[in-house]
Amino acid sequence: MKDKNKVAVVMLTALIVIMLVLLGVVIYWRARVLQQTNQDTQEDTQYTYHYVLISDKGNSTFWDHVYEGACAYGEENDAYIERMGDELAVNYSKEELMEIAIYAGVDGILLEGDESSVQKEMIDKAVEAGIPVVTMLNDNYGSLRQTFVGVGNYNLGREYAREVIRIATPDTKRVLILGDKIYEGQAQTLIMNGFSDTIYNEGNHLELAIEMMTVNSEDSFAVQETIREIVLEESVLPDIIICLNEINTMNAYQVIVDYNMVGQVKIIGYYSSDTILSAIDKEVITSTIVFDAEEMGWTAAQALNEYRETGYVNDYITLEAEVVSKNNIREYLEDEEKAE
Amino acid sequence: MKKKQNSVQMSIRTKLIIVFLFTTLIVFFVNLFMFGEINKMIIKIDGIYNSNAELTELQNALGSVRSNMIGYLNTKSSDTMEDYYISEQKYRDLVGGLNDKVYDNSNSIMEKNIRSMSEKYLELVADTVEAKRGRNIAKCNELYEESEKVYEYITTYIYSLNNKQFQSNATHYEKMLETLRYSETITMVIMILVGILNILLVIMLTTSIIEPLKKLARSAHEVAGGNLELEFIENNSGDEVSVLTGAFNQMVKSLKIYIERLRESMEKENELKKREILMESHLKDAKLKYLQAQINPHFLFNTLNAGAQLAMMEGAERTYTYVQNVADFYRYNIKKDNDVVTLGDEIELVDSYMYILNVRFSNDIHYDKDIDESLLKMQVPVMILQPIVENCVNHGLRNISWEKKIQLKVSKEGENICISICDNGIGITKEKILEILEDRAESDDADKDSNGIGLNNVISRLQLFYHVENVMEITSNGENMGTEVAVFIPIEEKS
Repeated sequence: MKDKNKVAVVMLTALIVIMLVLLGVVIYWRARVLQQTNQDTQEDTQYTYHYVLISDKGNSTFWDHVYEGACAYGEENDAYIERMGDELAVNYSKEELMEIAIYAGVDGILLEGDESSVQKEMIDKAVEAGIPVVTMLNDNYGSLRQTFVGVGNYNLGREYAREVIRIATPDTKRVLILGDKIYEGQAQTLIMNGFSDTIYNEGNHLELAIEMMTVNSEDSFAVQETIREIVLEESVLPDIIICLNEINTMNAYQVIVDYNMVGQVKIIGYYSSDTILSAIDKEVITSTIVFDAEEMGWTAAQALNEYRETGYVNDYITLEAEVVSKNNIREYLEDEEKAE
Repeated sequence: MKKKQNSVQMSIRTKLIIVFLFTTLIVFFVNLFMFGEINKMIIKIDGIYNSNAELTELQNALGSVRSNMIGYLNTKSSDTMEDYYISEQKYRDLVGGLNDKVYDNSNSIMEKNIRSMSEKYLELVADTVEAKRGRNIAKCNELYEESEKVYEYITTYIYSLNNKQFQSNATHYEKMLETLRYSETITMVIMILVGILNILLVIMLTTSIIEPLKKLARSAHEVAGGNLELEFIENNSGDEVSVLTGAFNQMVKSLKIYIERLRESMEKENELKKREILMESHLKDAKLKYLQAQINPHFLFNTLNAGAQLAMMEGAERTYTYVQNVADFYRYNIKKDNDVVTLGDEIELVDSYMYILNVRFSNDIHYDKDIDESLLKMQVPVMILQPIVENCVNHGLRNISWEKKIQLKVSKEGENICISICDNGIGITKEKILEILEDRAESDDADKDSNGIGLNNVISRLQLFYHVENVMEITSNGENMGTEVAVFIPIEEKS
């Protein structure tokens, strides 16, 4: 009798276990199917404003950070930031992208400014169409843009000059500034002004020959060739190369390493990509001028929003620049980690 | 409750049907569910590239707007105009289906851009057509240029979005196919599990049907072997087996009850027999006492009165003797509550009686005795001789003219004592003797001179006392030849 009860209990238990397993399998399977089939139907957050960020394709890490900063602000303040041109099959210029933005009727444009008149024209067209424009990194002087967010070219010149003074020895004679096409015109003048003013005031013990050359960063493949030519074919090798953008910095670094000129030529770089920071750690690049790209993005988006809501915004918003060299690279990395 | 037990609530057939129906339904619904899910998935897979098809349609519509516009600009014909309006309307409808909200999703944003640009494009195209109509060639050309630029942008956007969606759709498609393949395995697993489940269910349910049958069979076997002390078999299954079990239980119970009843009735019968025997003996006792009580006291009083009268008149010695004898007689009668007396006492009583009679009837009866003195101490029932003597006097000697004689003889005859009383009276017929011996003679109660104890009484008492049938013998040689009454008493008993 007891044995029979036992058998019945075992049977019942088996029954229940099988049913549970069955239920589990079905639930798991359904969940998996749902997960597979409903991947794209998840609810998207809706925003009120649609802003676009337009920058050159180069300098990607830097602009990635700017974009992240802008997005972070947007998420908190009901604005979606589109990185315009990112998803497109055609490689449009900044101006063409602006035109698309105008036709698409966006609510605001965050723009990597430059001195070109085409850009000025586009900025004016956008503003006239009721789309506020914020230039970043470089200003487009004389345009109708609402505000500019960046270090400021004069300041940038000063920071570079101070760094040159710090690392210069009595043997340092030649300084080469590798400019960017976007700095052509007034921006370049401002940088040079800032640079020479500071050298004149604070480094008058040095006898420096300063030369400025523009490398077209839009032409991706040409940059390295140009820099190679400059470095190798100049009659006198520059002691210090100052790079005004990320791409130039990377290329200069590569050329110096390739032609075994580490120690002979010092590089003062621009921005803090991982490669640049590791090069500083290895003392191939002496130092780099850094400012918080995410902060730039955040501030620019904030300025746009402020303008949309109040109709007013500061004409000029300055960001702090910082020099990262072997001396303070550890602290800098720690701060970055903390910030993340 | 009892009725429930006795009727089939759910027959075995119903149970089996339920089992098979249930398992079949499980398989059916699981299959239905699986097919439904897989079907849904296939529909979804079919719909994966829908978005691409829609975008291509959009692109085609856009192209036809453009070509119709160009056609109109070239020919300015009303046909192309109409075509243009149709294609414009179609494109507008398609564009209307695109997203125009700002979502946190690059595809939606691209759709929004396409929609905004398309609206702008349609405006531009309309303006271009308007300018062409107004023959404003310069403006027309300018607007056309602009529209071409926007067209290119839109095309790029549609193309890019299409590409992007195609890529994600392709990934999605791959995953769906994988899921579908994986679903086959899952379906197999589920079917196997359901199969096991069904087998278990069938086993459990059939066991629940068969197990009570087995139990019943075991019990029946035991009952057949004679063991009625079985446990009550429980079965609440409500099927035929349950009914059978109920009946079986009832049968065993009834068997037990019948056996018990049989035993009880047998006991009762025994008791009854015992009581009957007891009753009989009591009855015998009562009868004995009753027969003794039948002795009539009138006679005693009459004779005593006569004695008393004689004494009063004469005061003589004979009278004295007479009264003495009457007194003896009387005393004996008083003494008779002792059931048993000696033979000597009985003979003395007969002596007294004879004396009294001879006084009463002036000495005309000759009374002789021949007694074996050794037997006088024998124990006999009281009042057995006097009634016989009285009978002889009353019936045998009363009306004869010759000398009346009575002889009393006590002797040993083998195992018995023989007490013989003979008279020389009128005798007795054989019929009369038989009547007396068979207890058919009517006692002569009316005779006031009798002491009330008839012969049949004496016979009955002797028979009861000695448990012997043959206690008395009456013989007569014929009319006027006298009668002999002999009483036989066994010596061994009661001595």
